[in-house]
Amino acid sequence: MLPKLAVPANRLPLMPDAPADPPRSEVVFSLQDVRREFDDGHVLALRGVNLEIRAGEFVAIIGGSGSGKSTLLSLLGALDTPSSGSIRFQGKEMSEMPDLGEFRARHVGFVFQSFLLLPTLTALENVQVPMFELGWSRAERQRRAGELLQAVGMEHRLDHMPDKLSGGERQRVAIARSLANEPDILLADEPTGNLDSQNSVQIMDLLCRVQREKNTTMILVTHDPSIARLADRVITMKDGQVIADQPADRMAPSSAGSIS
Amino acid sequence: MTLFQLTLKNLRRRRTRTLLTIMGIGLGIGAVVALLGLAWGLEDSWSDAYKARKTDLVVRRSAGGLIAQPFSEEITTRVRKVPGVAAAAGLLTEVLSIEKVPMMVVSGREWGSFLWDTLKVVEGRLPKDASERGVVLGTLAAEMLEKKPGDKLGLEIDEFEVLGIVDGGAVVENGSVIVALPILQEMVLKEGDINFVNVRLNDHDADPHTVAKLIEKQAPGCRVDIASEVLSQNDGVKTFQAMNWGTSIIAILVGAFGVMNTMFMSVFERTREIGILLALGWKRSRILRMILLESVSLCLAAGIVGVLAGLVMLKILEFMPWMQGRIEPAVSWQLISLALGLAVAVGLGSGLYPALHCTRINPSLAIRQL
Repeated sequence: MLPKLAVPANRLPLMPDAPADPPRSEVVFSLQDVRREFDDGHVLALRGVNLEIRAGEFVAIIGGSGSGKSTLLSLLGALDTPSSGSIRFQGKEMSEMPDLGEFRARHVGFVFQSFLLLPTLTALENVQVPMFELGWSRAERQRRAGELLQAVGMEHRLDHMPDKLSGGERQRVAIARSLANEPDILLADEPTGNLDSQNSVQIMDLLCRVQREKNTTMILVTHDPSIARLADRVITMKDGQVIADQPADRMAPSSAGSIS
Repeated sequence: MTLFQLTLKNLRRRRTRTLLTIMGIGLGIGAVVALLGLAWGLEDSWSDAYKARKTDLVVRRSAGGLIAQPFSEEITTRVRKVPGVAAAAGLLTEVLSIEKVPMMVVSGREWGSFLWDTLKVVEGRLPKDASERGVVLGTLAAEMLEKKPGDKLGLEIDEFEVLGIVDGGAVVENGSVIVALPILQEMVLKEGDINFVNVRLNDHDADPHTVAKLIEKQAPGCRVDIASEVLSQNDGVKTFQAMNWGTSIIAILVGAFGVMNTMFMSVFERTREIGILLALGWKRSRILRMILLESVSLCLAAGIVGVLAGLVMLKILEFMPWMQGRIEPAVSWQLISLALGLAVAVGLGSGLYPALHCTRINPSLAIRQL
């Protein structure tokens, strides 16, 4: 039985509140000539990507299917490693990190298009999964998972299995899970791709609130220009290369649709 | 939620497959329990019989076989003269088909020896002398043959009177037909022969191993064993135990491959989920532990089922006519611990390869699987 929570539903309880005007100058990711090949070089997913991402930024990566945006996100989240080139996280070369699992456990939260909740676990249990590597007690894991689900408005679905939740509810649980390890970096791969427009608005509102309140660096992959416009900065990719990197407010109006 | 709870949830997901796997390895473990219970029971039953007879050493021919080869009863006289020997009793033991019982131990005992002193008369009496053509039955033998004192008992081509029923203090003693030595020698045409000498040592000064060596010098072609080790040194018993172990190992191997197959199916089906766990920061060592825990839990459950099945099998065997009076299955914590330990070992062994496979999964590719 969870203790009664004192956290307001519209407040996220993870970390101390971010400063009002957080420093945004520290470079968290620095990529130099990053390439990723598949099938022995027959498929070139990334062809020399160079970019920097700073702490607290909300970056949208936009592009068509096969443009390499999801591959780039996988590399940033250490789910995959580049075929060549350099990715530095807070100045450290990621290929030299002894344990990328440790990096993911300590620094990264993922939100996926297809939610990727574990089907045999309840919502509350799913949110506890990333906490296993953090050395927290069972009671602590349960308490914090309850608070996170309350913060994303899912306190009434704690014991529901994923197949008993709607798409929007599943993504809320997935967002709560992505915050479970108090990440510096939030990586979202088409988080609204499987949702209707109403749920898309709510999920993006939730993600933006998380990013703002916690000053989290958020990198979001989407093919929807209207979602990309919510970001501080939009990186456009095509054929494995960055073809544009600009503030969101400079995006061409013609590319901005609507999610509502 | 703990790792163990997560493991149980994974096993419950495919209940039928989990249950069938448990049954498969459980049968293997059950076979181990039943076969080892019999083998150990055989040893214990004879060991108990020697204890009941208060026998310290047993002399027999070096040549093997479950029933020892005969030798001259004159050896008994030589054994008695060995320093440290308090008493020696010649014994001829045969396994015969008696009336409706297919196999029964018939024990011809040297008249006047200590082997008669340990028999407690329950009903009737013992023979008056070595020439009286009557038999006494152990309590179990009397039950199996459905005889009471005064009844006639057909032995080979002769008929004997049942003189009494005795309690010999051990299952082998109670399952035997006991006669005076000359009677059995005449019946099986082995006059002047025995196949065992049971030896009692002086209580204080006799070291069994030293006395055994002295007896071997006096009885060429014979070997002398400490009574509790007679069966374990017997070639026939060794063969019996080797066959039991062989059968058990085959049964366990079949079960182990079943578990490995189940675990492989399970991890292949869950490649995406394992990718999710890796993406969420789980270390590969934790994934390895989770899969091994699943495999060990599966096998431990099978071990419990197997132990219960083995105990039931032993109970059934205990009431089989060819078992009664010869072997009392040995069920001990040692046997149960061995069976459960074996189950855990099978779980670790058969889960290791699938678990190592999981640790090589690329999370990026795995989570894109449909």
